[in-house]
Amino acid sequence: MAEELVPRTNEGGGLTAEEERSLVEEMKAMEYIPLMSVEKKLIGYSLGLGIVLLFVFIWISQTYFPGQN
Amino acid sequence: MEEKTRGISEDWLSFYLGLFVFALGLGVFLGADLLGWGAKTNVWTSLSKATAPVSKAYKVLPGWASLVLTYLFALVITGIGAAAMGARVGKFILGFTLIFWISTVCWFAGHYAYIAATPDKLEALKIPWSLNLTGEAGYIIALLAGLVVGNFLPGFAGVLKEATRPELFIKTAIVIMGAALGAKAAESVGLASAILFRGLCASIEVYLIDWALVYLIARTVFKFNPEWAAPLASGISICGVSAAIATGGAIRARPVVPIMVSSLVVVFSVVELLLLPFMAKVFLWHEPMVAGDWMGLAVKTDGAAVASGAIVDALVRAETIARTGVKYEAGWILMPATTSKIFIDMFIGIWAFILAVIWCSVIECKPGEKVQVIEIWHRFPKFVIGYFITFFVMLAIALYSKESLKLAKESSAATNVFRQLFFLLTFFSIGAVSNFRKLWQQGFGKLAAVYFVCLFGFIIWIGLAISCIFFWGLRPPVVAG
Repeated sequence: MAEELVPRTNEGGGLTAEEERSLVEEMKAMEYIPLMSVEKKLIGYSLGLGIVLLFVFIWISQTYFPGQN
Repeated sequence: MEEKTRGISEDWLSFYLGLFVFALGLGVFLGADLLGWGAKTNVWTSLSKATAPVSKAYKVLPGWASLVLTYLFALVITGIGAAAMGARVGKFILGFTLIFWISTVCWFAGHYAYIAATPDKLEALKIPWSLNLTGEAGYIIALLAGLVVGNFLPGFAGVLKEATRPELFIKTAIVIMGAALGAKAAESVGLASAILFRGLCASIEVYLIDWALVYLIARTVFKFNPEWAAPLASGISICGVSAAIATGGAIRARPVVPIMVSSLVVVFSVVELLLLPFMAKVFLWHEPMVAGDWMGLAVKTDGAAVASGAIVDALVRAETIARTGVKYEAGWILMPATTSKIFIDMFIGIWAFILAVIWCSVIECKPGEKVQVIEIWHRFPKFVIGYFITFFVMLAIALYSKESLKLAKESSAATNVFRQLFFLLTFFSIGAVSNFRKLWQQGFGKLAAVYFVCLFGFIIWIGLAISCIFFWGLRPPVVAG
């Protein structure tokens, strides 16, 4: 990716002390938002697809890409 | 990012630098050895023999002169690159010079025979024992030196800062490395194609399984809101900094969110870099390709992952020689690590696009906001294109005839000097940008906790399981004779 390993937002790199403080406060005060149904679907579909594809990939790998020298 | 507006990005620069070195390496096909003067480091007992030109065509050149030429060449090409990026060139030259020479001292130290020599070399070196760590121990020493600078010498780290660019260095190294892997692939096309396809499969699995699990845990166990949970999931499960930033952009998180995640990614990737290669040496030496792919899947950030692959390549080969006497060809164990990491990088743009569509259309609908497919291209890592160009061009050349294969190997040996150099600079730089104090700063605790739990709880182990599924039983070619 084009971005740097540690993005430089100020002379010292990373966040300013003020930015960090406000984020720390925000994290402390963060309220729990229950999982929305779209998030549940995203997680479910992602895991499901991952498991299904795993078996497909294993079959293709062993059938067409055995890796013999 | 701010840097992008001032000049070309590090990503494009690594593409150009890598291709430039690759093009010079092709000179051997025209009878001109344009990079043979590059300094190759040997395992040494006498410092005077520690370095020499990589090509016999330059054997009259003293080792120190070869080293100085290597420094000047690297300084000029990266210095021009720094100017093209809009960096402060004077500060870059100073920083690069210091990083180069400190790293070189570390590299030499790592090649000291009592540290580096493999069992088959002890007799020739006339020493009774060694730590059997191979010359790649120099990478670890450079990393430790970088960590000391980054964590205990902030003033000095500031002097180096303009040239402390691990992403630029590793991406350049990867583009250069494509040629060497292409030449290797020509000798065993079946194995190389298996590594490519299986690496692709492993990468897709990591995306689908790891991301969902980390997101679920970040949201339900650690109670993060979606703005924090998505970049965290990408940073922890996919590819560290790049993925966290891409995801942050995709879901329109405030820029500070992925930046905060990124600072943790770097720290944890150093921990992984110091631990996993040695675990692989002990527990996976008998499954070398699994060990290599595990580094690509489990270690976050391009730099740390490919660097871990390089160390594992050396350590596992040394361990195999020590235990069985079998000598694997160098570079093959690094191939699955690089392949998986590159496919992971390639998919970041697609994954970010999918998340952007979901966030934009369902989770946080903002009036008039649209997601464009071109975003995939904008987020596509350009250095990957460079890697595939060097890989397939060299593969095609090497497959042409036996003579072209021989020349391809010569070319790769010369460019390999610069691949190793950029690896070395990566190790030092990763150490220098890793700020471990972040871990115990107030407020980072919750972020660090979710990272720690997910990474060491299951990300590493799922990566290992996927590597076992796709790479178990594959073996690198054995050195003849």
